Amino acid sequence: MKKFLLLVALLATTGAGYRALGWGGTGHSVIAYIAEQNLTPQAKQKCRDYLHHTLPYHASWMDYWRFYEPFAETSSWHSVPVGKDNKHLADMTDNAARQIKRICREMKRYKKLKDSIVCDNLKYLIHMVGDMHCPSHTKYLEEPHLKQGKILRKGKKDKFHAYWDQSPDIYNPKWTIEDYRKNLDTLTPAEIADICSGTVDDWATQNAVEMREIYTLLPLDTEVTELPEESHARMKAICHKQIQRGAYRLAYVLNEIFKK
Amino acid sequence: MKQILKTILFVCAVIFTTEAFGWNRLGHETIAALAERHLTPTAKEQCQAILGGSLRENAMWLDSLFRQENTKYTASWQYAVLDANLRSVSKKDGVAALEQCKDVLANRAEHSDSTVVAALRTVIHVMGDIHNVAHVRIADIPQSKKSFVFYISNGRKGKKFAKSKTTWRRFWDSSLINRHRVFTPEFYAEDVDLCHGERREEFQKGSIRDWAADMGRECKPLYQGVAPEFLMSREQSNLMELPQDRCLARAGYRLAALLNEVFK
Repeated sequence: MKKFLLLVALLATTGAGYRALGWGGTGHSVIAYIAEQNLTPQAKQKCRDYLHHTLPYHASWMDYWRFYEPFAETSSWHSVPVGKDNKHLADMTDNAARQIKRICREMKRYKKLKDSIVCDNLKYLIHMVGDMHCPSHTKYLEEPHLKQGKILRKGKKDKFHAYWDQSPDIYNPKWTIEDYRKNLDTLTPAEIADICSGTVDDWATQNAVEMREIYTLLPLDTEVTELPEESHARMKAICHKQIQRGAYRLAYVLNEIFKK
Repeated sequence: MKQILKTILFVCAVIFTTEAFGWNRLGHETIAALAERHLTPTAKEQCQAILGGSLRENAMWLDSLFRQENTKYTASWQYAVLDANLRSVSKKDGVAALEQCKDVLANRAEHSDSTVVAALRTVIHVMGDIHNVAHVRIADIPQSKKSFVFYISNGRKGKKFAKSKTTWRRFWDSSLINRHRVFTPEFYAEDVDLCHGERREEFQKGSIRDWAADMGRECKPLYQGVAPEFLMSREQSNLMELPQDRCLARAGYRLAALLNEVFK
């Protein structure tokens, strides 16, 4: 009977045409949506003028196009490699933090750039500022014990990385972007200012320090459904915190670019 | 046990409805929400009075009729049937249903309240369906007449290459639009307006039959290279988002135009 129900559940998922896009879908849309609510009117208008869309519409653009030859180079811009000192490896081009900094520098003279370049740069920033805050997108390259491997979900092997990518869908399967806004866009101006203080380098370091915890909360080869309630509560809190950080920092970056 | 089986049957019914009957909920409700952004105050007020709710809240009503035995005939309303010259040629398709319902709404004083409510709910839903690429049947395009299986590449090469199996209907009804599945219909409508708003008046021009022909022109090029079992590249699937959103825009703007006209 149990197997039959599982089969029906599987059919239901496939039949309805739903696909788990994870942080690549839900998380990115939510970060962009909350960011848009926190843009200055001027920055919001500028973004819309260049994108001809809202921010969330293009939030996963980098994921959809990353394997297309002209954008192949960007395929490795989705995570932040860090060293043992928790600083991101700034010499590596395959580094979202480095690329965010480069684009922010370029966008200081956005008025002199072609519209299509500004548009693409915005799509990169919307995605990469989100990605650098995804818990599994900080890569501890020099620490083999923090390598990402497999976990178990209901007895089946799954990727540790994918679990965190999909964590918004796992913890809030029915929420829309508006539900996320109501629940997460709740910080005071002082709290937002605190999140946005520092530089992209500092943000990467903060993530590198704090995201070590996810390897303790969800050890490799662990059955997720057997984790204690407290672990799930903590993992959900991390997922929400990182969405908030990504959203407010994205708004901050765009407000800075378009303040002139 | 009986209860479990009932639940399973219900779940399956919902699933296969999603697969079989036009846009999914997000699609239909986005079209309704977009129309609502462009209704005149009078039309909005009258729709609200007839429906006792918003267009969005009534966007899925017809879906339940498609699968009921005594109203199965409504299932043909989810299509626009066009000849090779893109003329509407069916008396039972969505175009014919829209014309009949428009007539009921324009002469609502002559009809019972329940008929008027049903006509309005039908217009809201069918306007969406005939603007779905997989629901426009064109005489000289055999692939448009029946859904078929095809595959979508993950865009990777070598060992990492993979393809997912889908159907033409599922792709246009739900898979593509579900890229934005966490959007609210109101927000998606705002986005469609932002991108396609400049073409609103152009899209609203003409009759229901002109609108169906225009959809035929939109669909024809999309069938180039498309055949059962074909492999769609990831880039090609990405590029389909633009025509999909144009179709949402057309449906929403035209729904508003029709309702503004009958509720002048």
